[in-house]
Amino acid sequence: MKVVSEHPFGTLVTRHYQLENGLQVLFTRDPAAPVFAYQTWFAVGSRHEKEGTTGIAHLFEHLMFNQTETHAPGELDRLIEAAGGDTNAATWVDWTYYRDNLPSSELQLAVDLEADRMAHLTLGEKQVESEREVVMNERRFRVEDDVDGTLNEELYKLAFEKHPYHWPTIGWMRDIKNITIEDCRNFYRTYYSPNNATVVVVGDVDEKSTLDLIAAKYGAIPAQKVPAPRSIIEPAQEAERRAVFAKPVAADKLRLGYKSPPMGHADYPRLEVLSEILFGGNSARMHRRLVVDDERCVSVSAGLAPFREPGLYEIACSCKRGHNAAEVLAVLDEELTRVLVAPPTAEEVEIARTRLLTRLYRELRPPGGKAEALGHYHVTTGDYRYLFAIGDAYRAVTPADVHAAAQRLLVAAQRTIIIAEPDGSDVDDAEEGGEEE
Amino acid sequence: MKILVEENHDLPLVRVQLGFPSGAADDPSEIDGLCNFSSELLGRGAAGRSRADLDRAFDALGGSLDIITDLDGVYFELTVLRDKLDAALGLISDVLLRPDWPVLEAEKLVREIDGQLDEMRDDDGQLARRFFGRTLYGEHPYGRTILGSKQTVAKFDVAAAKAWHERVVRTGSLVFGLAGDVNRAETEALAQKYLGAMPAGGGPGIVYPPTARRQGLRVTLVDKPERTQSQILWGQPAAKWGTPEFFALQVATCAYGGTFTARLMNEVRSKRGFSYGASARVGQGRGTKALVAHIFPSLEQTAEALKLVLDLHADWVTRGITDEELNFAKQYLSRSFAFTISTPEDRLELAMSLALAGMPADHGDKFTARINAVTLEDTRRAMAAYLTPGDLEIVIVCTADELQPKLEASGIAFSAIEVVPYDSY
Repeated sequence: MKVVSEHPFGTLVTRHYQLENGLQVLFTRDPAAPVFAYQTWFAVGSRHEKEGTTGIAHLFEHLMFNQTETHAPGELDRLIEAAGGDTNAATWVDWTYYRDNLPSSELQLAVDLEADRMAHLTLGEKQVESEREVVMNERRFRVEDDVDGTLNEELYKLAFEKHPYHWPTIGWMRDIKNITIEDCRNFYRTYYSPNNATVVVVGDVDEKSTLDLIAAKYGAIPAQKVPAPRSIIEPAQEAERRAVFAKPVAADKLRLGYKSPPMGHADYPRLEVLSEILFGGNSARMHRRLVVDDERCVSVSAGLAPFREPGLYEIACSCKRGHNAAEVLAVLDEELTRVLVAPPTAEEVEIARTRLLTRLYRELRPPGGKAEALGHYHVTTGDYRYLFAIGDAYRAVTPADVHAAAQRLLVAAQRTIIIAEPDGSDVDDAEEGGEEE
Repeated sequence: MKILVEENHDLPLVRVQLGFPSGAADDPSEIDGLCNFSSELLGRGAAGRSRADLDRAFDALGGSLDIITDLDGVYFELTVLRDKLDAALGLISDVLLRPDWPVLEAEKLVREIDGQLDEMRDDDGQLARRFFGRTLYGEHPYGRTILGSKQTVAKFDVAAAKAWHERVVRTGSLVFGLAGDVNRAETEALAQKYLGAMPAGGGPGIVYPPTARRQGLRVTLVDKPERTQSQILWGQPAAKWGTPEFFALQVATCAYGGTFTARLMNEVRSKRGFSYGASARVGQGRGTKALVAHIFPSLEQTAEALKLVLDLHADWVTRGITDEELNFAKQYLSRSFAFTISTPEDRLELAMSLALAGMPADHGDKFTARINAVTLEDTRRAMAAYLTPGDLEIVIVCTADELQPKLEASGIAFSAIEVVPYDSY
């Protein structure tokens, strides 16, 4: 196994290795507690899907917990739980990752199970049908019966016309119903290969033993030809887009999305600073204006999509009863115009920088947090070392940088607005409107 | 004052936690939500600083001061870089010891909480838990809510908040903890410097009355339009945290719904795909909490799924768990405990929750041994003492006119079905 690179990680060191079959390994020994995190990141997510089988990356993630040639259904979970560990997985637009947290004594178990399901998963009709039901219920939980989930889905659906970010990672319900077992088998053969994966290990385990085990268990898994993602350029948005839905809410809920640069872009940390200045804490401009001073909103928040390709800068506002999206939009426009006209103060940038650095350190405390950050940056930007450049990037941001980045981001013609309005089912609403009896 | 320290110098970070053992359950029943209101109001003006000044000062330190109320206590929490620790404790000291009680901010906070009550109704899971607490605990203090209700928010004012502060913020009740880049000597000196002026008095927290146990299979349908899915909670009062019966129930409940391969998950999700999640747990707190289980099937499958889980529940209670399940649950609970104490912040959080619940500080040290000592007979005895499958509170957030006929035709022997509007509480 060859060393590709290494980089200090605070008082620790991260080393990047690669096997001959293309499997990448990021190893960090962290002796803080007798546990370790073992994560497998596959460079496949909903961005790699096609209309008709949207949601297959996520459905397949569920199926990966089922059975292999040597492990019966449910045995993988059972073995990890018996060892006192926990296991789960997540799928998003650019990646799918599987995580195991285990006591340090269980390294062999993690390597055995993860190598096994990378190469020897078996799929039966019964398991596919059962997981299809589970995923349909998950979609009802996250989207159909969740107004915030619905708004997020509608925002991307309207903002992107051609690019696969148009569809949700969980998939359209009609597609979830129609995915076949053969689709799943093809998906596995196409994307679940060592040359499309990165194993991230962080914790109180020995480096040489870990690498020897990984080489022994994964070394014989052949590389496959993984198709390059289709290069789909989203056409430039030339006018604001807007959609309104009636929902059982007490007051309007609002989502805005501005087309934003991808993770790894030079503007990304500058826009994170901008977002902190606008929405990041109780003294942030938008929170102060909309929640505290004007009392038009119950809550406001915002964030940049951490995607490999251009995504959205998402803004979410929940109006207070008696207020509506139109008046909140007017305030948002006023405040967004302020950051276009003049740069923020040096004090605002400093506060934002301190908040971002504190959050970064907090997220990196547990082994699982370190592993997740390494895996996410490596798969999304192509180089785990981007994680270590972020602190310096935050420190280098100036008010002028934020101002210039805001001007590139906040283009009125490139925004999308989704609104949920009360559908009239709310009792308090009816009483206020004098419609009792 | 009780002082907790978890020293670790890997990162230049310190977690600050202060807790008082008086939470929402300690609120007067006619002013449900007072603890949350009063503790939030502390941060809205102190030592001559306005709310805006305080917010800006905390943000400049790298994070907001989180003020969190739960049923058993109220917490003030902040994570800062090591070089901001002194400044952070100075601000927290102002908030706790020198509140200004601005009337306009109190009025504003009343409107803010009223808005949060509206927004809470958008989340079906939260709605289910809120109604379940009311139906299960009734007039017991655990039947109170964190936010209060539309009726009680109107009673929040500065006088009530001052009385709460006078009663609760006392050195005899305070638990002060730091985790991260600090040592014990520094922590003790900082506690004295910034909190030494707190008034004396206070105590270990309230003693809860016994939890009432109701009879029958009682269903509350929380009626909300357009639901494609039902959020279902069911359960009944169980054993108090720390008692031998609690450990036995914890092991038995782990086998029932505590892991991904437990009975509920296996039967509800893995075999039938009825619900994305299926779980059960025994509540931990200062008073006796409940065994609560949770699934969320589609509207079409709700009646069938409910019948299934009630049958599973009855089978689990009446026949108990198997030897294999016992050993697996004990192994899982004892080995996974390492993850609840894997970071200094985790260890501080555990120590804080033990202190506020009146649990012995060595609970963590003895946890594995106590779990491993549980026998099959212990689980049967504890289940027989606390669990009766015919006496369950069931709360379902759903569209009632679609679900109720299906439930009535399901053959399940409910003793009562009540329908309440989702925005009535």
